[in-house]
Amino acid sequence: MQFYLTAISLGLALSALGWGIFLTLKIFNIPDITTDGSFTLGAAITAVQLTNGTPWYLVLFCSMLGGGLAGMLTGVIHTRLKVNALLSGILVMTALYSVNLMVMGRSNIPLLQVNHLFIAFQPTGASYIDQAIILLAIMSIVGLCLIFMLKTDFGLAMRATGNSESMVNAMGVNTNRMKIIGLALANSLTAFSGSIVAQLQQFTDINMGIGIVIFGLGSVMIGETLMDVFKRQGIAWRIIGVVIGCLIFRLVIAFTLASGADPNLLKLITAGVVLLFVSIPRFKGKIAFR
Amino acid sequence: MIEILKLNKTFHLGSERQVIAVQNLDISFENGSFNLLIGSNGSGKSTLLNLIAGTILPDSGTISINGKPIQSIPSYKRSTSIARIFQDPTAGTAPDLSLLDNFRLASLRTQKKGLRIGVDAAFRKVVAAHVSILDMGLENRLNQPMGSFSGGQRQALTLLMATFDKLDVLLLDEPTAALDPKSAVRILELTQRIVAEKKIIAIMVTHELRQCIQVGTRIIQLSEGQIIRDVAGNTKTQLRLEELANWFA
Repeated sequence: MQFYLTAISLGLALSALGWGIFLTLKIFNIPDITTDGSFTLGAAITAVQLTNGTPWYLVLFCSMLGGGLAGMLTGVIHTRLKVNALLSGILVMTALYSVNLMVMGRSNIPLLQVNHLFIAFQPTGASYIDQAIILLAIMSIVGLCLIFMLKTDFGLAMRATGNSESMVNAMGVNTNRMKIIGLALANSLTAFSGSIVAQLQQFTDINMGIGIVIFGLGSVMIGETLMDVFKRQGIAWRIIGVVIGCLIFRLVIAFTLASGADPNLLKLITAGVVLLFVSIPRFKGKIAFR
Repeated sequence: MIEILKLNKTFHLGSERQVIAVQNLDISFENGSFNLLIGSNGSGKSTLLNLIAGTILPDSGTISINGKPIQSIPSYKRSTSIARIFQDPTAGTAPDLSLLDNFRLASLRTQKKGLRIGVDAAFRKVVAAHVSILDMGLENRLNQPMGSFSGGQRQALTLLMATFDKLDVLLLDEPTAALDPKSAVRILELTQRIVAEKKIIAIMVTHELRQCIQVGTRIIQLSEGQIIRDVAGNTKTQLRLEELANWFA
């Protein structure tokens, strides 16, 4: 029970990152890998502020702000300086490694003696159950806000931007501004995830974001594939799909580790799972449409 | 009314590939007119259309709509008075969004896209009524993604979307080039109807001389960025296809 719940909690904590990737990759059609840096940035800001006694809600807010600024920077480099989106993300991500080190002051900060989110709320007293409940509540709120936003007129313009830029431009939308807002929003969600994960695991490490973008990509792919299979095309379902993707991915990793697989193989397994889900639509397409 | 004065645009200025696309062009377009721009490839038709839309900016000269100069404002801001139809029927709509969502964006072309949910039952009714004039049965398929419709259907919907919000100018860049003859006729008739009903200016680039005979109130022929023929009124109405073909001899 504890085994499953721990994996589920981590999956829930990472679903905000999944939404961030979903926004850039699926809504804006921009491959953004600022993620690795902004995830750690959120965790770094969290570690420093919690250690200084800042209340957890302010910490979450500041983490999102930090991630938002990082995303905005990627957006400005991409749209104003006309640098390829992937490269813009790599540049900011690389720079963030140093920024994160500067913020943290050292490469690892434990958060055992601080008053974080999961200390503030302990409804049942059993920590792994409490964590799952708190995360479910928080992510439901964030997810509902995201669904609402994407259903508004502003959200429609956002979704159209990645879909048909010429059309949305002709509809009076400043697509460059829209992309900057989108990247900022996506990376603030990623940093939010970083902050939650740091509080959940009670430490921040400078390397905790390395390769995390692959987890996000994989979760989005799993979610989209599943929603496709079950014919759920609405935006709300797709947002829920990302959460399901994160949960499945975390559970697969947990099972793999529990089955006694060499932890050194973890990244290899991660890449394998992503490859599997990315290729499913191809196989399916061959069977269903031809 | 659109007034264009001394408009110039040169691409790749100073390099070997230098192309004078539009040269010292003076022209005006009246409200309620359906203008056809013809000319060989590279004559500057599409450039002129893009200059009016604002997707490219002129080197010099002025473009004004109803007395207001617009030549230096970005294209997305010009959309308050200008709508565009592209040659590619897929360019004017967002394929993954539903028909309804596409029309929601179209209804806000001149307005702010705020944080409120605008697609409601009342809006659905308005769109259904609007789409039903196409007589394609699309009013029952409002939730379907735009990408699932045929090219002809999408181009017709694009045209309706363009005129869903208020506008002064409709720019059409070979709107029927990718369509079958039946859909092409439907698009042209619809355009003609909209121009007459809404008293807007339509400017259409076309390579199909037959269309120039069928529709429109004025034909302008461009060559090397300048106007070489400009025919309207009775002369346009009486123009025969053979005569028009001779223009290109």
